Parts: sequence; structure tokens; C-alpha cells
Amino acid sequence: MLTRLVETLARHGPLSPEDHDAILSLPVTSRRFGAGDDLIVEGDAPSQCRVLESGQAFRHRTLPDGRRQIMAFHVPGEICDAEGLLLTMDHTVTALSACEVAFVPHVAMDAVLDAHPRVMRALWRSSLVESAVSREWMMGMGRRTARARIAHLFCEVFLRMRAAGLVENNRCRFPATQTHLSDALGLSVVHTNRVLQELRGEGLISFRGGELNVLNWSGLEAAGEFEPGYLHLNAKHR
Amino acid sequence: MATCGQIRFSFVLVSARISANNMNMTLEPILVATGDDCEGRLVFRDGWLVAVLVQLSAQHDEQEGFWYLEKGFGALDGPDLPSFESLEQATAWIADHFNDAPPFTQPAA
Repeated sequence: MLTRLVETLARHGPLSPEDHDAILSLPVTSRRFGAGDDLIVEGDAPSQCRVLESGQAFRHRTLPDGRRQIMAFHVPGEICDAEGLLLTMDHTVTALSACEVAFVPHVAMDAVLDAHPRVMRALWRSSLVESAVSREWMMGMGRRTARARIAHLFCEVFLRMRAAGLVENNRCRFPATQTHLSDALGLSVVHTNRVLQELRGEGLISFRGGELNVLNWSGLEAAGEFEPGYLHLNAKHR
Repeated sequence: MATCGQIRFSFVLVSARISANNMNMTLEPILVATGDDCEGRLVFRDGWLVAVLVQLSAQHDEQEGFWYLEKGFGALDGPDLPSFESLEQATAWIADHFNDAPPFTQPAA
């Protein structure tokens, strides 16, 4: 367990063999969740971290009348509730697909972070990148067209899945429904459907059966006005 | 002459008047540049444009034929854009949103 977490953190900063061992020695209990199950709910004050070992999840909040906003999608290897180490949850995290989740007690995680500053720094950097992704989403929501928003999200998911080693033959899992996409991008389902048909019709993607297949990467990038710098995937560790 | 799917429009506009919640609602056929969902209605309340509806095409599967609120004005402005099975249902829902609103007035010159 936690091999994926090591890989994720190692992308955010150089880790020593001792750092690797410390993470891999963390006490873990594993639990499976079905698509649509909540991993953690707004208002919870967790005592464990939830590490996504397999499957995908999303963060969201819902207004009193039922209007939902999705704020982020998670790929395997990420901690879905890292803020729970220091904060009460101000939103909910739900499984997008069937997930396997590793639960790590905060006490043990805190001990590793205290004793291994490189792990702390990598976690800090991953949290900063999550903020950068949020800023990019805000940019899209405020200023991009529906077409660019959807194409941009597909580019982002594809690159993050690829970084996690989960893209094969330009295909990756992304079992979002049109409702998920609409709730993530501030669009109506009708508008989302129109744009999906357009992107398919132009031969940029195929998107069915929970799978995203990128058929024309440069075309999709252009449609999404996508610049991957904000993901900081290839940046030197500073 | 314009074309929307298999339908050719010659723009002999036939407006329909519907009374809903004691409001005088008028529906005026138009073409809307949304791709396949191009057959639309301008919806007026007492002569004021309050909404644009379009009829959903086959690309929307089970919602084909439904009427979608493409754009709302005033009390209908916002991210909530529902679809309705019939024009009557759409018009009633629109009228309902202006139920408590005073009659529109033009700003003083």
C-alpha cells in the first residue's frame, strides 16, 4: 500500500530512501467505495487521511436548493482530504468510480511529516499545485467559453492521469457523466452535450463508457486554450 | 428562407398568445444559432422579452423534443436552465417566475 502516494509525493520533491520507507511503513487500513459513495463529508473533522489508491473522486459543495458545484477531480495517488490534517472539512469528497482508499491515521502521518522535512515539503508543494489548479478552474469559469472549459478539463485530466501512469494508447478512465461535467464547469447539461458532440464531431476525442480517448491532442489543446504550466508537472523542484 | 434540420422556415411568423397566471405571454417563432437545436421561441411577457426557448434535437436522446431555456432575462437570468416537455409547461414556469414581479416599466427619460 501507499506506493502510489510515494510516487505522487516524489513528483513534488526529491525523497530519500529513508523518506520512502517511512511512508511505506505508515499504518494503513484499506476500504473500498462504490461510485457515488462519500469518502468524507462537509463538517467532518477527520482523524485519518484518505489516500486514493485506485479509482477517481471529486470534491464538491451543494447549495441549499440542490445546485452542486464540483471543485476538483482526484486521480490515484493523491490524498483526497489533506486539509483534514489541519482543518474541518468545508466540502465533501465523493467517489466518481469504484475506489480503493487507504486510511492513514493523522498521528502517524504527523510523525512522518515531523521527522522527514522532504516529505513535508513535497506535501506542501502538492497542496500549492492544487491551489494553482483551482485558480485555473476559476479562470475558465469566469472567462472561457463552454467549449474551451470542457476541452481544458479533458486536457487536464488526461495529463494528470498520464503523470500517474494511467494513460495507455491515449486512453484513460474518466467516468464523469454529463451532469458531473456540467456541475464542474458551471454549464447546463444541454450545453455540455452540445459541446461534447462538437468535440467528437471534430475528431478531437471519444468519450464513452467512462473512458476518455484523446484522438487529436494538439486540436484539443487549442480548443481548450490549454497551457499545462499551472500543473507544474515538469518544473524543477525548488 | 432559412433551414433548421429538415424544416425550412419562410419567416411567416405566427405568434401565439398564452394567458398564464393573468399575464399576457406571447411566443414568437425564430431560428436560434445553436447548431442542431435551432427552432426557437422568443417569449414575451406583456411585450417584454423575458426568455428564449429552443426545442432540443435528436442529439439530446431522451430529451429530444423538449423545450430548453436557452436564455432568461430579469428574474430568469442565472445558471439554472431547465428543460420542459411542452411549450405550455415552459410558459407556465416562466410566468410563475414573474408572478410577484410588478409590471415592467421603462426608465424615465
